[in-house]
Amino acid sequence: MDLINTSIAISAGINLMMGILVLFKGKRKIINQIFSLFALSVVTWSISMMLYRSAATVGDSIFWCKTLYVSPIFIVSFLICFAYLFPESSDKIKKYIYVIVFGSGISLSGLVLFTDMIIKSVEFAPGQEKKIIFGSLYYSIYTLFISGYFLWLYYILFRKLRRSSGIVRQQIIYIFSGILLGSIAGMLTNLTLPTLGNFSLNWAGQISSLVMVLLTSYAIVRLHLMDIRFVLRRYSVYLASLITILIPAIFLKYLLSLSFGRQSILIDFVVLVLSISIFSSVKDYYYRIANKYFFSSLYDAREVIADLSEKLKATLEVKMIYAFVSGTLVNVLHIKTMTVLIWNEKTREYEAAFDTGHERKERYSFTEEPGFYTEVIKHNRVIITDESKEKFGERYGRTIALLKKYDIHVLVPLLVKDKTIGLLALGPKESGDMYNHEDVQVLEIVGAQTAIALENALLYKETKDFNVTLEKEVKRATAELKAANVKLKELDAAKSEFISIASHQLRTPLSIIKGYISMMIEGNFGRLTDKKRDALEKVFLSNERLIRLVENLLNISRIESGKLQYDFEEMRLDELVRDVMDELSGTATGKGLSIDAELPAEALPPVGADEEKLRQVVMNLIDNAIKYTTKGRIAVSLKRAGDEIEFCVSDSGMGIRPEDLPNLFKKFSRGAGTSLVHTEGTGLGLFVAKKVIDAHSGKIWAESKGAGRGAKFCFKLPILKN
Amino acid sequence: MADAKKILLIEDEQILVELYQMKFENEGLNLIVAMDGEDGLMMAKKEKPDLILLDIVLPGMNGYQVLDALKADKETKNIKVYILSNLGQKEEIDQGLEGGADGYLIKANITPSQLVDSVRKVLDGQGAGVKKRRG
Repeated sequence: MDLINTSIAISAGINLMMGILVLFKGKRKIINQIFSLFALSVVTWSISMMLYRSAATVGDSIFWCKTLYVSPIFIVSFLICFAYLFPESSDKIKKYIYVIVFGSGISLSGLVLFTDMIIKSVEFAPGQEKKIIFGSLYYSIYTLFISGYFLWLYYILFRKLRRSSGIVRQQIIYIFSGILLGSIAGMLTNLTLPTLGNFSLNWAGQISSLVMVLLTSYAIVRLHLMDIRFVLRRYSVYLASLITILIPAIFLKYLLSLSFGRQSILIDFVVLVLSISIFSSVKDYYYRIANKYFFSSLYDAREVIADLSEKLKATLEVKMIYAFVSGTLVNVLHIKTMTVLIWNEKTREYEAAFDTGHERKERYSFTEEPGFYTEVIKHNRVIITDESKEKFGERYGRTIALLKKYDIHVLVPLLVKDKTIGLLALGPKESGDMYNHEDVQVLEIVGAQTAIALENALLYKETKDFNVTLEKEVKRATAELKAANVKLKELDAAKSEFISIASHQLRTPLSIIKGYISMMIEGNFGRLTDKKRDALEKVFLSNERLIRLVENLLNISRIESGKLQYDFEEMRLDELVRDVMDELSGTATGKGLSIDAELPAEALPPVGADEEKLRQVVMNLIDNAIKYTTKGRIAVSLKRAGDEIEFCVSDSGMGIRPEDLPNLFKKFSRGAGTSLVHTEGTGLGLFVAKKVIDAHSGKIWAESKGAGRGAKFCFKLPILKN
Repeated sequence: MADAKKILLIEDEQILVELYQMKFENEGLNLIVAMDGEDGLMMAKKEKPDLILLDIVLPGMNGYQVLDALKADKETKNIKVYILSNLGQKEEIDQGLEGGADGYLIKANITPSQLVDSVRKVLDGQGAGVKKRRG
């Protein structure tokens, strides 16, 4: 067996293997069966060629020559059926096509096999390929049939190519190029050249059929097809690099062998090491050139990702992210439609949040088909619809149908941790090209970027919304508080007004009584007997006490509401004490009490005080002493004690029990038993006195040796500093 | 009428008016009386008194409004005004003094004699000491 026959045998073996492989990949699929029949026809064709070439007699040669010319009829017939059926058996072939194809094919085969109208004879030519003597109908019917049927086949494929998109398109490109290469080579060597009388390349068609079978089976079996442009680019770069290295290498080897002669193994080794070490940089260089000048229409993945990354960094607005991502992808990949689907936890659906390219603006959404999302989406960074259809079409028909309905070619899940927050749904490319490997890589990264950006933006939005709610709550609460405050202020004002008016109403009759009694005592209504005067003086003093009581009540109410205001001024306590003594001495002497004042000879330093309030305190304390003392004396003293002025009033009255001492200055507190003796005492005086002295930063206290042993009340005020 | 000086009392409490009228007459002072604010303003313009004793709680205009009206009128703004009231809280006193009153007297705290003393001091031009103090 010569070299040519060996080559033919190898390619026939490979073709046979392909036929078997495709058949096993889908035994029940009619398209796989038809492919296998096609492969079988090619194998038959190859075997016929081998046997024809090695046949020793003319008779054998004629027989194998006839099978050699029958096989292409079946090759092209099966290919036509295959082309009609591809990509799916769902494209039914109309029956008359079968009838036409196989009817004419079988008839022609009959003509070839059983008459000499196509193949007449074979002529041996020593040292050359045998010559075939063709019959009268060869040139007309046979060549027309084969070339005509191949044209028909091209036409079918061309039409399919134009209508297809995505992976199917890529598959058709593979099949079409395989068939085109194989058939043109085959027809050139086995049809055209023999027609012209040249049989020297007779055998080459069988070997070139390998391209056709391999490419077609690759297209059927492999789902993830490579973009031919990338293959082309990669291999042209490799080829250019190889040539660039090889030519100098050979030249170098030649030069070295000239000077060193026999040590060729060493020379080979040196050249090899050199070549390998520079290959990588040469290849990179060619890649750059190729990218720059020949493939500029293809995008630079790194640049696209970096650019999008920059844009996404600059925004926290969900809508901006949608716009950036779809803008970038549409521009770079030239996608017809693009939708961003966001998972809605409430409806448990992926809802279209952003859409571009769809003419009808119908909003679409995906309900979760149990299993699909957990099995398919979670485990894939990019889902190609065509592939999923192949793999999961039976299990998740509903989802696949939806994808088909909306013409979604690629789904990119937006994964954050274990959650799929959304999907990027990409439609077909404008060119109808499939999404190639590089696209898929870019989409994986873009998907991850988008997911993170969206998650951040959604979190930001949530926080923002929460802040808005919070702000509203605070506003509402503040408004309520304000309203409550206004109401309280109104109530407070009402209370103050009431007390003001009440005290005014009480004081008016008191001042009238005071006026008339004082005039009577002064003799304005005629001379009075001592007895009458004495009686009127008692009325006057009691009236004075009532006036003080009203004043104290008014002060207490002010203290309670925190509205008692002080008007601090520089003043002298000795003057004030003298005034009060003058006013009250009558009351004391009226009761038969002696009242003495122990005042310093020199004027005391001034204090900062509200004179009116302090007058009330002094008045209250001296008045109390008079009130609770039935006989004996009252002593008032005023002196300087360090940085303070101390005022004291002591009496020989009923005294205070030790247990009562702590409660004396509390509101409505009186010493036990006092109520029986002095009904007019309310205990308000001491309470007011303590509040006033406290407000002056002073100190007030009481001392007593016990019940019946007299009492002493004192207060201290700080001396005014300059 | 030993004293030619005229004092206008604006006061609505009839009994108090009688009391003060009696006292001032006894003391030989010329006291004229208005029973409400509007009347008081009219009399102040007409009579040109040397001193006005002004109550705060009055029917119709209150004392503060009367004071404002007096101080707003060229003819009456130079007349001395003493508030004579039973309202005696700090804010009430402050409001009166800020409104332009020359002094503030609390009725319940002074006898008619003390009032007369204060009035005499004011008319003699020594009124400053009475400011904010009881009589």
